[in-house]
Amino acid sequence: MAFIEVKNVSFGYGHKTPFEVQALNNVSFSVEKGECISVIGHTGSGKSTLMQMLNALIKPEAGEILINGKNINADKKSVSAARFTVGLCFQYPEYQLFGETCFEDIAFGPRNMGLNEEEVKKRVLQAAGFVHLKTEKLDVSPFDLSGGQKRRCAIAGVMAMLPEVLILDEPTAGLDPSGRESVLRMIERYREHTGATVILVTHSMEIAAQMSNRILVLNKGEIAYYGTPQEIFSHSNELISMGLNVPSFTKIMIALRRLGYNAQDVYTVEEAAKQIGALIRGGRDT
Amino acid sequence: MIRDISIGQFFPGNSVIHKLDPRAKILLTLLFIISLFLCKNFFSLLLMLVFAVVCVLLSRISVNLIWKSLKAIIFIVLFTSALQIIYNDKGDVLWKPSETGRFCITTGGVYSAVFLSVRIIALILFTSLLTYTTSPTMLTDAIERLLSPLKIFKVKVHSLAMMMTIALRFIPILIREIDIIMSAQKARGAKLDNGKLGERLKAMVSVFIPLFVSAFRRAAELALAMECRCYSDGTQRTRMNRMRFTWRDIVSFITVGILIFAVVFTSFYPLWDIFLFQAVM
Amino acid sequence: MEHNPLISFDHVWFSYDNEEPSPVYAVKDLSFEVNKGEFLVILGHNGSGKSTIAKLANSIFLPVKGKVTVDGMDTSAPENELEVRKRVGVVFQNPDNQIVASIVEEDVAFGPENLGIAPNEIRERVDDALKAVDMYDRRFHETYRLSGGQKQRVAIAGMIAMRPDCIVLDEPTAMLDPQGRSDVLNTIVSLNKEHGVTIVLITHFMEEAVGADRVMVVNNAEIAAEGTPREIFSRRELLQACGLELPDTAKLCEALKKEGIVMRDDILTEQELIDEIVRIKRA
Repeated sequence: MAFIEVKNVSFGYGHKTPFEVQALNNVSFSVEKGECISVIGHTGSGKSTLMQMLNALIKPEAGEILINGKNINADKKSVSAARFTVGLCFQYPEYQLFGETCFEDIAFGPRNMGLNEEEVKKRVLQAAGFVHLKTEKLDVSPFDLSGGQKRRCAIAGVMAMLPEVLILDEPTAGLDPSGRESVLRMIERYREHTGATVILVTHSMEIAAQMSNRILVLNKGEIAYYGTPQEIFSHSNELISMGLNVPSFTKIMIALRRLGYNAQDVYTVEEAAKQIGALIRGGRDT
Repeated sequence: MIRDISIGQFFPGNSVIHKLDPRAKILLTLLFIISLFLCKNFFSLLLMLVFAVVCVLLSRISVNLIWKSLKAIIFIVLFTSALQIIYNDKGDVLWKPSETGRFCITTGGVYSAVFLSVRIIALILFTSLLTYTTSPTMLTDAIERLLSPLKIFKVKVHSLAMMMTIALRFIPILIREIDIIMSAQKARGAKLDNGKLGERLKAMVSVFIPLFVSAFRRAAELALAMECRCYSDGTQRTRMNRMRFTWRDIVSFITVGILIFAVVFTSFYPLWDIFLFQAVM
Repeated sequence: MEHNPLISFDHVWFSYDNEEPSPVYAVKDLSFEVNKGEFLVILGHNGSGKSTIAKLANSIFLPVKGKVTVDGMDTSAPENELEVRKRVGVVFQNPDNQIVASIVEEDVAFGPENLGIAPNEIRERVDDALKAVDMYDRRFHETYRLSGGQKQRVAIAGMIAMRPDCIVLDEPTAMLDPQGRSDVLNTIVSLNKEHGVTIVLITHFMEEAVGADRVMVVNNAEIAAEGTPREIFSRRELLQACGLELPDTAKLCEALKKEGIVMRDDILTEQELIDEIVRIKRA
């Protein structure tokens, strides 16, 4: 049995009002231990609802979610257990900072787990290490940090709980290229050190392809595709019609194929360049 | 679910009720509420209820929505009814579970329970009609005009109205924000809905600090944006939607006037109560 | 184009901590002009000083040294404040914190109402503005139920309804999803091309600069480069040194160069790259 099993899960908002939305409709999938998967889909595809369900914040209206073989909504105990097994980092997590110092803020989760102060301190220092937050910053108020540092501090607050499953909702939203790279690096560091399962929610097909071994595409509350980046990118045309942002090089390969050239679907720039290089060198048209 | 709220919402439309001058609507609502409390018997109350229902029908607001706003207060209705039935011991005894106990259900209790329920329902029907058919800005504009005589007492009526507009605009945003912050802190194990009182209070701090920080940030950004949109003290402001007092408003005032007269008349001359029970208050 | 700048920055310095003995300048000795009808994109990474420029342009901030003029008026003179803000509208990053009213059309009317315009004309301006951003069908919607991209278009309409000569947009797409981003960008382009509004778009997304008349790169509070999109996009090393991320197309061009393929340096769009590949193949 897989580590995370989502079975026939459905959920809707605003029943019987003009604003009714079916957020998820009979969704089933599984994630193996230690895997990194990305969930993509445009706004309103049900991504955020699904993420909050995996952490037992939202209870499915139908279906069930098993983590390590246990139903996370079985009783109160399993709900609070799920909160610690699954670490959920919301979009713009810096808006949830509240501690007097960064240390206090990062320690919030571990303390809620009931750990002793010694262990809490160890966890905080370890998490600060994952996100490369300097030790001297731990005594500073989180509100005095720069934007990028706030984000690190907030992510550290989730990592300090050492969750076996780490879920991040758009962790790179609003960051510039260097900020984005450093956030992706810290997620990788966390994975390497803990062997955790990581679920990444993103709009970016490139981040999904770069970070994860499987991609889950959600469309209108249903699973459109679930597979390796290679498999997902082979549906590029369909992804475009779902309103997803496919990288330019993918569109260029599609266009070249339409023009009758031998161009395969690719999911990295380097591969695209290699193929086009081979295409050009492989004989000029007559 | 916190996201389901529909109280205080505006549903645009083109009905007679929508077209009334918002100032008139506010005054009429006040008159309606006053006359609800003048009602002394079922007949007058029935008149009020019929009037409220006719207005709802005229507004062409979907029955579903009205039902939703009524559902929200069902608890209050049941609670007040229960209190009346338990504590009101006037009239004939209908049921007494034990001879020695003081508890009994009386006709007076039942009457006043029904009376109060109908009164609350009529009240909610009519006031929700006001917010359903008037946009928040029009509502605050109207309040501003109605309160404008207070300017002679140096009350900053315009600022008050602007604050109300902004408050109405940001309430749904802040509610959503609370929802997100609470979820995020729960995800970090905050004991917001389980745990001891002390733990809960501690957990609330983790919600309120980010909420206040965010509210202040929003306020600063909004002030800046308003400045960019040339907002000053409001002395030179004009309005896109002019408020005009038309024949419709006159007709509705006359109608409500007749209604009040009928209510007062039937309350003091309960001739009509031959076939309807007089409420024992 | 005759030389008649709408906005002019003349050796402008600005600092947030001016009282300090050695202040850190957010913009240093900045000089540039915005011409009427132009579509100018200012590129820079977070903290490069680009957002300060927006607030200097409509006298929210006043220069510490140097002078900013709008239509010939000095923004530092208090009596010019209102006239400057009428001419230069600013749209900010977070649409939620710019919208004042609960209903779309009432929010768009907020600016014109502040200007004391007659009700009939406000109505006309609001309708025109909503049509220009393609939100007319949703004029009675509640603002908080809209998507991010729709909210930002309402915020833009709120500026258009004031009929400014120029709209400065400070990272208007940074908080939006890809769909919202492309809708907002299309709106901005059509305002410039079809309605003749001067646009200054401040962003860190390079691909948003493709359709610009002129691009200015800001780094460390100074102008690092200036030119047409073609000129700027070909200077890939400089752009990366300024902390900007190359658009996908430019990344692919760079990768093709490493593959040893010789091609034009100034490719902007996907179509141009496809044409270039086909041309080389046929040559």
